Amino acid sequence: MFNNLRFFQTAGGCFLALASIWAQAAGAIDSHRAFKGGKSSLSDESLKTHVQAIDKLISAGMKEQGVIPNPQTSDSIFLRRAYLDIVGRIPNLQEAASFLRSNSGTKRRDLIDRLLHSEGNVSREFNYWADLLRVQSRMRNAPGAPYLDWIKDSIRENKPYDEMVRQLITAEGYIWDNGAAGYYLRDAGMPLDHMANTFQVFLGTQLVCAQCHDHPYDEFTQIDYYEQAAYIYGVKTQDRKIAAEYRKFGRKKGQDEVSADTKRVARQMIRPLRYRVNETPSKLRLPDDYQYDDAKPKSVVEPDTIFGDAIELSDGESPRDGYANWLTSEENPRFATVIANRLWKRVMGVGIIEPVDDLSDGFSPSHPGLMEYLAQLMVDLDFNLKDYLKVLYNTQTYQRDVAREEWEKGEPYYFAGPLLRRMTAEQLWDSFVGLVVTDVDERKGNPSQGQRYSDAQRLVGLEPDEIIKLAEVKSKNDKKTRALRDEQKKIRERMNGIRGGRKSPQYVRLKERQNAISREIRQISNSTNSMRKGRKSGRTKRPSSDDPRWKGLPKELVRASEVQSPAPQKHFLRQFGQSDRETIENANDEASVPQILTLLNGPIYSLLSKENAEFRKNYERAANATELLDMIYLSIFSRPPSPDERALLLPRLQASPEQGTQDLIWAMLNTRQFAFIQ
Amino acid sequence: MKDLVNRLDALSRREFAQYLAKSFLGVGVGIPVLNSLALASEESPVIPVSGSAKRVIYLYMSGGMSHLDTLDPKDDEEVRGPVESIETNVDGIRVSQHMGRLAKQMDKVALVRSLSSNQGAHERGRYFMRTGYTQRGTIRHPSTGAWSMKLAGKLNRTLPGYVTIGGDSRHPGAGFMEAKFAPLPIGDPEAGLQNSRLPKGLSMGKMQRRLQLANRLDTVFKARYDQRSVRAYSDAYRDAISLMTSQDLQAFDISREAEATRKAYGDSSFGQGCLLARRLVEKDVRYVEVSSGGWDTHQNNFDRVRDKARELDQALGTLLADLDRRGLLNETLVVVATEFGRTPKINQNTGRDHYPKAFSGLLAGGGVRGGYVHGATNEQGTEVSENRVTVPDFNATIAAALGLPQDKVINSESGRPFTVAHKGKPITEVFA
Repeated sequence: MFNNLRFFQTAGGCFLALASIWAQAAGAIDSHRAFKGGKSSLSDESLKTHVQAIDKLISAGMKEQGVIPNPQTSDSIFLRRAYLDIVGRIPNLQEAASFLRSNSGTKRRDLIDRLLHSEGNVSREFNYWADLLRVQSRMRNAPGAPYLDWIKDSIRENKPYDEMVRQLITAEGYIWDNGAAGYYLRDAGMPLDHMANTFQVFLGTQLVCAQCHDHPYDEFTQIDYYEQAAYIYGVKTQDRKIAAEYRKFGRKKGQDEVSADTKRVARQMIRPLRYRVNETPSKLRLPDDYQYDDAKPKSVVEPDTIFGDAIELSDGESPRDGYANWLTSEENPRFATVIANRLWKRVMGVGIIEPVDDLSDGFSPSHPGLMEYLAQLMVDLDFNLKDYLKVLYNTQTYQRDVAREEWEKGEPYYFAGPLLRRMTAEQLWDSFVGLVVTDVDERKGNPSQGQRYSDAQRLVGLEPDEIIKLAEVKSKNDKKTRALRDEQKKIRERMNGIRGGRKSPQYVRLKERQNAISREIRQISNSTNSMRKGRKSGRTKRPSSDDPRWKGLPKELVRASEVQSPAPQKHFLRQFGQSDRETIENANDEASVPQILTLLNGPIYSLLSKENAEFRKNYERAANATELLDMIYLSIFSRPPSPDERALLLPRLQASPEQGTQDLIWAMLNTRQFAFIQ
Repeated sequence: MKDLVNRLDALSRREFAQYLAKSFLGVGVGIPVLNSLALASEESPVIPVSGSAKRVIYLYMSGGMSHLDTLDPKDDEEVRGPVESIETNVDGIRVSQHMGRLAKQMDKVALVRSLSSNQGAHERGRYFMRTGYTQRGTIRHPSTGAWSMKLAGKLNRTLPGYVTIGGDSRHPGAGFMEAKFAPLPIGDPEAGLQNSRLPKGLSMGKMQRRLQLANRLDTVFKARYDQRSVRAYSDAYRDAISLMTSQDLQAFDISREAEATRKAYGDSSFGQGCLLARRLVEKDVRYVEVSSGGWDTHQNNFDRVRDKARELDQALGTLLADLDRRGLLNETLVVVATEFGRTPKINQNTGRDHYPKAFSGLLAGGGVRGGYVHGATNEQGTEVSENRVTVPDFNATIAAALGLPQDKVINSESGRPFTVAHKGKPITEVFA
């Protein structure tokens, strides 16, 4: 595997010297792209104030309970944890070396800053929101890609959280014009479930019981629930007018001469145009079997809020606008609290209120003063999530060693340190991929939204006659293509039947014919595409796939946020517990046998030694066994080896650098200290 | 408390429910567990039926299998199109001409010709069929296979208990249950179990030495963090190694079958999947689902269904005979299921559209009475004319064949109560 190894000298340079070499070799540590959006409103002074206030409240809680705080983490543990929490993967060799060798007194704060504004952070945050919002690349009636892009863009520009939620709730139009429309399209046909999910995600409130009967544990009644849902009941994911047009299509007078086949193709082409988020005046009614005395079954429900202030609509405001403003208001007793608590849990491992999405009236935070403080901080920061996280990451509380004991659900937790956690499926995948792919955060996938959707987009605004004309061409082209594909299939069967192998003249002839047909099919498809004029899809250009940094590396090796959502069932990500994105935060971190089989025998090890792989490039730069050992340790454990480890491993690498390296990386990737975040 | 409830018989359960209702007076109405209990106890006590199945092979025809061209052929020419029906080895039961192998083994099979669903879209239909619950945005229901794992457990400790072959990404899997009840997905039956073989150039001895090195590097960490989640991984490594070194692992390798056997199942991926399923149940894997796509025949129904049906017939016919010959059939329930049937009316593209109102399924083995037809549709196949079977009823029949406790309530994490097959009533008549 590693053939190009230079001669090994045992008396190698010390770790620090090495680190500086790596850092120079990369020269790239400052290339983390900072983004203009989401300006920080947080001065150094107020950062310090908030950090100290939070640590003080936590200390007070510990003192009261007689809990002894864990010591502050070492730099290397902090480094690894910060990368995993903020960027979603372990640091690469250069990133690790550069941080560890720095003598700056503010290096932790600087790192947090830089990571929060890096492209890697977009990936990490996307995974979180994709779990919360149950984002899917393929929805029933609409492409998911614009919605996924909208979420990434919102993170990238650090859109204030209240603004982001308002945009989701008031979304209108086609998904390719407004990605936020995906919020409603995701739950098409399930307005009541949609309301329940909205409440669970943004207000940490479980209403779902009240959908069918009065809530058993809370004060909510079924009619409360219906009144709340009435605010968005008028929001439809199908445009009735267009749907009616669609049904009538081709049945109008003057279109008699159009063939049935063309009409069918035309209807297929315009079908996606039916699915457009729009607000209608339609009213919600109680169910047929409504069982309580306060209203009659099937009666119309007028909107009213389930808690907090009533909504007063101003002129020109739709019920939905009013509801979006009510939900995201600073006055709403749960909106700021829920996001402040959710993010606290993400950073520390336990919420101040648990569970984070089932607040009831008498919810009891472990640290009441702290919960209030954080909710207020969220409001004061104008829902700037990066700033809020920056405060949390800078606390001593975050920068302590993780808890040695496990936390029992239902018990209060006093934050002697964050919890020990297994990496999420995404963190594991991204860490592996980062060992192989250079500048992995910049490598983008190419989630296509599907031909039929881009076809349909181009039809917006066309007259029926024009659509019919396009349909005629497409129908003709489709027929030709089908015939050609059939021919290809026959040829393939003949090719399989040839005994002489791939070199036989008959095989070669058929292969040529096969290729010619493929070219013809492509031409037809191009001509179908070019006939559609009009606007182009608004999708951002992706960097080309032939970037020299990634030459020869499988195109599937991109960050989890660039893989379809959810990943296919057999994918590494799903194996390690990625959410199916069917219900809110449905990921898990449980151990399973297939996971272990992947870690024992999976393709990762051969990928590491690929020509252009990041790990292999670093391997080849190592001048001797000491450098090699440091390189391996920094790349995988984000720290230099301990003296004991050095004594154990150096002789092995000296004896056989190639075999020793293979054995060592295999062993390291199969440890708990790799998969768990200290 | 719930276990206690389950141990009580139907009569005393009613009293117990009343007792509980009294003691919770004031809050009683809303408590879901109590509600369902009270409901259950008002009905006549369920006659326990049970098949002799320990294992299930669930064949899923994805896309909506045309019942009219397979298991429920009609005489009316308007309805049947070009498809003829044939006699079977059981008097009075006819199936479509494409099901020749099945016809010869009708005495092993019970047909259910009165299935009826209210879900006309694929994904929702599949979800309903696999879970017994309609799809919601707020909960993920477990599939019947996950229920069997939860309620009955594994039979073979080394092998996974629940395997899906060629299934789709939206399979409900374990639903809200723990990840250990999720199916192990196999994409390509020929490829077997992913990553279960040692990489090239690595021997078991060498792997053991690497594992020792890993353990050595991890000593400090493991001593420091002696936590459940960390130990769970150590256990999983032990299980994985014992799987890799187990003879039973060969169950995943269909290349060990004689060429003739492989041919007999048909060279389709589905056929080979059925062969893999047989190998797995032979080694006591509890629940195996094999999916076969391509049944969504809006166009060109008759050619496409002919091809699909022949594929099914070959695989199923061989599977039944093979299980029988090996003495496995009595303890293995074989099911054929699909999300809905197809319209009796043939559309302008010689296709058939979705038809959830009336369709067919099949049960065999596991104590199921052969040569039996349950329910019927009318002459045009438009309506169920007798013994309507809902999707929960059908799933309850599977649960009954396995002897699963159908009134056992399992709560989701949010405290919502669920049961296997969602209170469906098993078709008692199919059990011999």
